[in-house]
Amino acid sequence: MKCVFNKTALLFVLTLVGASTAASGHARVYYSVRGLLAEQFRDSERVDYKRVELSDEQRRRIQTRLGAKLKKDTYIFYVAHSADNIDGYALFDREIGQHEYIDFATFFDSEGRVTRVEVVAYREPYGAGIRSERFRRQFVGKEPTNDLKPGYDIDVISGATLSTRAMAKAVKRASVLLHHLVLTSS
Amino acid sequence: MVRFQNSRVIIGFSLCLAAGVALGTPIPAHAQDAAPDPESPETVVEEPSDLPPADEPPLDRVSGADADSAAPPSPDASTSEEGPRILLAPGEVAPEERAGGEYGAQIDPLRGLQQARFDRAEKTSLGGYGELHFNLIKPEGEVAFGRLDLHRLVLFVAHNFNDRFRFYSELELEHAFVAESGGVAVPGSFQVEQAFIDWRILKGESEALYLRAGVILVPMGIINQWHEPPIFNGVERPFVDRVIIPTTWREGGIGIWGEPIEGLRYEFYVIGGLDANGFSGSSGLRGGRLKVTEAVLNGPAFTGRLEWEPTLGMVLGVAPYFGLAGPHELDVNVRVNGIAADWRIRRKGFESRAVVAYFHVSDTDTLRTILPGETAPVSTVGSNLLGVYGEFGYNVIGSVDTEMELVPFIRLEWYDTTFEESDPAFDLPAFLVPTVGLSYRPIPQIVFKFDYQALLASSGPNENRWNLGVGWMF
Repeated sequence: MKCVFNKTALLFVLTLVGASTAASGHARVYYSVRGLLAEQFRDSERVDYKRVELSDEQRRRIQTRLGAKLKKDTYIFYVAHSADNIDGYALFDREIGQHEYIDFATFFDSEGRVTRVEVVAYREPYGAGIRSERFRRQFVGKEPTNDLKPGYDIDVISGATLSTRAMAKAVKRASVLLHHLVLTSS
Repeated sequence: MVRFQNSRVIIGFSLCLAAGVALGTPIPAHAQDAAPDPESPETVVEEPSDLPPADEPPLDRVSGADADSAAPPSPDASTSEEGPRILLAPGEVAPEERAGGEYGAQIDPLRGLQQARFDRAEKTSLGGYGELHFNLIKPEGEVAFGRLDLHRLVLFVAHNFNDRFRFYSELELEHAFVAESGGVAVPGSFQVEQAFIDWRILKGESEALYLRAGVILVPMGIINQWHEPPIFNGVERPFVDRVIIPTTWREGGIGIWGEPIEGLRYEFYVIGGLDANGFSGSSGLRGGRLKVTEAVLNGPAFTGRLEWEPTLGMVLGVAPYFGLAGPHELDVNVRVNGIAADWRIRRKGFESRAVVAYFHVSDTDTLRTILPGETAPVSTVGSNLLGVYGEFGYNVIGSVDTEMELVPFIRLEWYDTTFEESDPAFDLPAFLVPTVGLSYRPIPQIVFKFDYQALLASSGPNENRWNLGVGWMF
C-alpha cells in the first residue's frame, strides 16, 4: 500500500514538473489593480491617486487606534472623480493570513463608508472562502468607528479563521487610514 | 530507521518551531490614548494636482509592470474602452509581481532540484502546533496521580508547486521523545499524520474538483480533521473523538473533494482499511489503524463527507465509512461500517459543536475465538460502538474591543464501545462524561485551558480528572 502511494506521489511530481512550465506562480491573482479600479469606478470620469507619507505623530495615533503596528510608511489612496465630485476611494493593501500574505482592496464612498471589499490575490492553500460574496458583504457600510471582530461582529467562514481575521484587520486598517490621512485632513 | 532519524528530526523540528514562533510573535498593542485628532497635520507628498491634465490620454500600463519603476507615467494609446481614465501610482506593486514567477523551468535536469531550492523556499510554508498537558487523575477508591505530558508537537510543511498543485504534510511527535528503555518502549512516537498532494483539476477559478492522493485524514467527526489545540475547548480531545472515532485516523489513499457551489463541500476517498487484530473492547477501533506502516492490508475502505454551511458561522457535516478489516489469521474479512454527523456553530460570541458517531463491526463472534496456543481472544471488540457529545461555550469578553477570548464551556458526552452487547462477558460499561472548563486565548493562535471532567461509569468505579494545558498553532 505504502509503495503504491509513493509511486502515485512520484507520478504527480513528475507530471507537474512537466506541466509547471506552463503554469503561473502559486498565488491566485483575481484582479489587476487597474482592472479592479476600472470595474468599481466604471461610472467615474477618472481615477487618480494620493500618496501619503505618515508622520511620526500620525503613525503613533493610528497604531494606537488599531492596536497594531503599521508595516508601511507610505500609503497610496486611489480617488475616483466625476467633474468636481469625489465618487469614492480605494486602498490596496496586504495582510498575513495563516502563513502567506493576502492582497486586499477596500473601496469607500466619499464619506469613508466601506462599499466593497475584494481579495486581489490569495496564496494560502486553504481559506479562499473569504472571497465569497456573503462573507465580504458584511463589511459594506462599515465606518472607522465600527468594530469588526470576527466571530462577534463579523460571522466567520469555517476553515478560514485566520483568513477571516486577516480580512477584518485589513478593512479596519484601511478604514482608519482613510479617515486619518485623507478625510479629516482636507 | 525511526530511531536513527529521530535525533536529527527532533533537532531540525525544534529549530523550525523556534524560528516559527519567533517570526510569528505578534507585536503587542499599545493601549494608550485612542482618540484621533482630526486637526493633526499630515504629510502629503503628492496631490492629485500633480496628475496629467484631464484631456491627456490615460495611463494604461499593465499592472504586472507597475512594480519596477518610479519613472513618470507615459501615455499609452491602447485604451479606448469606456470607463474612467486611471492613473496608477508609480511604485505600486502589482499582485502578479508579489506572486513570484514560475520556477518550474529552473529545475536543472542534471542537478535536480538544487538550483531551484531557494526559489522554492518562498513557496514552502512551515507551520505547526503543540500542546502541553497536566492531568490530575483520581480514580474512585484509589490515590490521585498527576501526569505531565508534552502530548503533541507538530510540524506542518506545505508546498505550492503552482496554483493547481500543492503538497501538505503534518509530522507529529507525541509524548516528547521516542526511545526504548530496557527493551520497553516509552509512549512517545513519531508519526506522519498527513502527507498528500492536492491537484485542482478544473482550470480557471473553479474549486469544484480536486484530486487528493497520499496519507489522508478520515473525514469523520470534527477533531479528526480540525485538531489544532487553540480551535477546540478542553485540554484533552473529547472521548467520542478518541474512543469511537479513533482520532487521529489517517490512511493512505486517493480521492476527490471540492466545493461545487458556495457552502457545499464534498470529499470522497478510497483508503486502506483497518486491522481487526488491533480492535479491543475498551478502545474500540483505535488499535486497528494501520497508519501506513507497511502493515498487511486487509482490504479497502470507502469514506467521505458532505458538509453544508447554510449560513456563515454554521457548518453541518455527515460522513460515512465502509471498510474491510481482516484479520488475515482468521477465515473472515470483518466489515466495519460507520457514520458520523456533526455541527459547528460560532456566532456573536456563542459557540457550539456536537458529534454523533456510530460503528458496526461484523463477525465479532468469530473475532472472540481463542486461537490454539493463545490465552486471549483475537479481539474483544463490541459489535456496536456509539458515542455522542454536545458542547456550548460563550466568549464573555466578546463585546470588548480586543482579540482576546475568554470562553467558559460545558460539554456532555456519552459513549459505549460495547453498545447493546448481548454477551455479558464482553459487555463493558458505558460512560457519561460532563466536562466544564475555561479556554483563554490571548491571541487566536495561543490558548490556555483548564477543565474538570467526571467519568461516570454505568457500572464499576467512576473517575475525576482536572486538566491544565497550554496549546499553540502557527
